[in-house]
Amino acid sequence: MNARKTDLPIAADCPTTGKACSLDCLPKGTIGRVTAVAGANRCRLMELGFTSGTEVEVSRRAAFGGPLEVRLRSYRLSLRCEEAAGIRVETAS
Amino acid sequence: MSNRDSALRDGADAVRTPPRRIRLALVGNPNCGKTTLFNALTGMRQKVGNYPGITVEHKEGILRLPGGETVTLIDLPGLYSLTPQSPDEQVARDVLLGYRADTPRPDLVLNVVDASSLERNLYLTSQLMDVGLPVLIALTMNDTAGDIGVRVAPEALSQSLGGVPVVAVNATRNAGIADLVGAIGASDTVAAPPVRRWTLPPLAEREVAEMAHLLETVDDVPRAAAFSEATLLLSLPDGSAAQTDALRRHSPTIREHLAQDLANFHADNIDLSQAIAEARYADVGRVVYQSVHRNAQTPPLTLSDKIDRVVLHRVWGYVLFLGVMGLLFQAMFTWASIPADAISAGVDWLGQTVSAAMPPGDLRDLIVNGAIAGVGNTVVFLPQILLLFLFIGFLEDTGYLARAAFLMDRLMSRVGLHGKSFIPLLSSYACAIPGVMAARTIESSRARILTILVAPLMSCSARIPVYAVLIGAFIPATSAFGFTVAGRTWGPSWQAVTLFSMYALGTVAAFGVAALFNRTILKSDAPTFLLEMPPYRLPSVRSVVLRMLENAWTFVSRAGTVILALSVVLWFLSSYPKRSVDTPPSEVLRQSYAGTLGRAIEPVIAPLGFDWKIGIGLVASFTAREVFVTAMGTVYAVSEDVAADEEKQSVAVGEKMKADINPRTGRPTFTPLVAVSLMVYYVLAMQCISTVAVVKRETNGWKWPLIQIAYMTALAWLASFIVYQGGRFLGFG
Ligand SMILES: Nc1nc2c(ncn2[C@@H]2O[C@H](COP(=O)(O)OP(=O)(O)OP(=O)(O)O)[C@@H](O)[C@H]2O)c(=O)[nH]1
Repeated sequence: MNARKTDLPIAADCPTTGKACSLDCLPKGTIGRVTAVAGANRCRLMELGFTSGTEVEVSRRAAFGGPLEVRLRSYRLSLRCEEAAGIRVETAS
Repeated sequence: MSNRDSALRDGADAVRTPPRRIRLALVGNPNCGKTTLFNALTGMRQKVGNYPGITVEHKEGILRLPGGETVTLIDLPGLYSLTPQSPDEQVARDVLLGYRADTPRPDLVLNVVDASSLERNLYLTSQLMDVGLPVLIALTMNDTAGDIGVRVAPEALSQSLGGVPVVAVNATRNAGIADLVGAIGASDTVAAPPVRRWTLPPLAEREVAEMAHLLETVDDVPRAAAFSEATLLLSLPDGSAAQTDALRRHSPTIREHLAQDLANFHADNIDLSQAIAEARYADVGRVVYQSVHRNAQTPPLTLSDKIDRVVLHRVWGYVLFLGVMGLLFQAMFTWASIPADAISAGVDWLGQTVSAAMPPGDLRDLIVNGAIAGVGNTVVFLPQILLLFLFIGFLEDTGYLARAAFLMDRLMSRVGLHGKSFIPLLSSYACAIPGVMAARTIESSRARILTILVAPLMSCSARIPVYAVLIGAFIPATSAFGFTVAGRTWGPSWQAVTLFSMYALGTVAAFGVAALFNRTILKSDAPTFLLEMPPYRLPSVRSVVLRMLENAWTFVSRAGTVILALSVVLWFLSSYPKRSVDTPPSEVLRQSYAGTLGRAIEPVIAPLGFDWKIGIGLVASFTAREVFVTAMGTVYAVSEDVAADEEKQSVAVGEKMKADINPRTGRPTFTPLVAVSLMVYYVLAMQCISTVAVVKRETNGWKWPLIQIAYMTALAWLASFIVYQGGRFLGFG
């Protein structure tokens, strides 16, 4: 599926903290800080608030690998893992 | 009267300016309370239509100001951004910039802003402030914001946005509406649009300014809109369809310049769409900081969070979901059939009354069998449509619809459908027409089309009479398999197994076809599932009921006309050419155009085990599938007093079919194998003009209904062929 078209290297850790991954890897209840966004919906995701530095909490994961629910900018959004895979985050701890 | 007097009066008339007619566009995020506000402002003075050529709804309403002026409100679709990535956004942008020939450019923008998710809502505000129109803000959901410990101060918000008027409202309680109307009246539509408060990196800023200047001087774009257009052109991905589309409006000079600019950006590693999103959000952050008071003792868990612990629970969530869907199904299947049967009976009664009152002849037949039957074919769907939209309205406005989509998305997305496809498909077991209409709730256009395409494969209630005749006559009632306990055998009969198989076949086919189309004809659109989870809210009955009536009315006025026309055509085909009055009805049907057609297609359907009589049944049931039974009753000349009782007719038709002997072979024409093959055909074929009409209306064109008819007919033929020929090969029938 073309949603996965990523122009970022896969699984590259953040050079400074060594702790970066994509939003879909974050376990439930953790908060990540957005570093970059890629994929077919890149523009829309940024407009929905996934800009660099934004804190995003993964608040829920649907059963059977279904969509994620995240909180950012004080609202709740659900998105599929494919889309979340394009959002690069560093864990904010 | 002296000349002087009349001159004075003329002068006074000339001074009194004609009443201003302001055009005001209503814009806001999905779910921000825009529709509720629109209804509160316009009451029932509104009209709904479609923008020509696309599926986006066009809604206008009238508001009369206390001063006597009239304001035309244009309700634009709910959207998160003005960057055109869907038809909705394209329309909104084009209307605001005055690019649509059918909608004059508005004079004023009323931006509906949800206080409970202020940041994201203000992103759209930031874009609206660039389109070159004066902006007015209606701040909604202040109560919901309060629940999560947020208080937005309207004056502070207004100030930090550079003086854009802000009015707090709660349209569900009619609070603040008078103030808002006052603000609309007081708004100065000729005032300069708001000033931009954010900047881009210097190089980007320079290129944008240059482009805006070019647009203004070369392409005559109004100064106020030039910045918005320039940023759009420069930030669309190079070579994308959206870019080609946007460039269509502009001259070659602009095109060349754009190519140059994009090359510069590339060389300097500037991504304008990112730079703009970041700059806007930075400015929004400042506005939020200046206008929001956060309650220090914010409860860590809101009521919505607590409810979601159950509603989205991995086990209880699904249990609840099944319960809600069971209720929906029950309502559609059982409760809606009570008024629907009453309507059918009423239409029959009307037909008989008119028949009795008019002299026999073509005109009477046209009115009774064409027009009244056609109107009946439309209104009979209303109970289901009303009920389904009442249900959906409540699910949507409480916020449960988004949760249901969240729970079901995994299952549906495997074949390219959407979490929100579930309800349309479920309702299609009762009837595809409300199902197809319910697909409107799906935001992703790809998933919506896919849902519409496969919805008629679900076995609807109109197929039940057909299954009943064939199963009753040809499938034994003996036990298929089972176990014996205390002298009684428990287990389904062959009849039950067959009926279940037909439902299963339709369902499996729907998912299979969806998967196939998802990989082929719909491949080009990117699939999306970006779904906001709104907080739970108490729905307003008024707005739910209003939306329900609106949907029903669109069905009647738009699809109803097509259904009526097609009904008349089918009536004509099955009763012409005219025979003498004493010709028995079975002969009239046989020799009619429909009969001729049914016989003409015999070679095509013979490999499926069907003869010309079934051919006539197939042609006739294009009005509605259950007509098959009546048509076969006519073909086999079932006596009239039997035909009056549905159940007796069903049995009689079955008996006649069973007794039919092929004169050539001397063996029965119909075997259980033919019956199964015919049922399979009915599961898969598109045989319902009302569905065709509603698909045409919902997709706003003939492309998708024609594709649907083609693929369903091919699929039905192929499947029946395999069943019949395979069955014969294996020695059945
Ligand atoms: N608590 C609260 N609820 C509101 C307010 N305004 C509207 N609502 C409710 O919010 C829900 C959504 O409102 P709509 O008017 O349908 O929202 P919309 O923006 O038209 O949504 P879309 O049709 O999805 O674009 C409804 O149930 C309204 O009754 C408000 O100020 N406070």
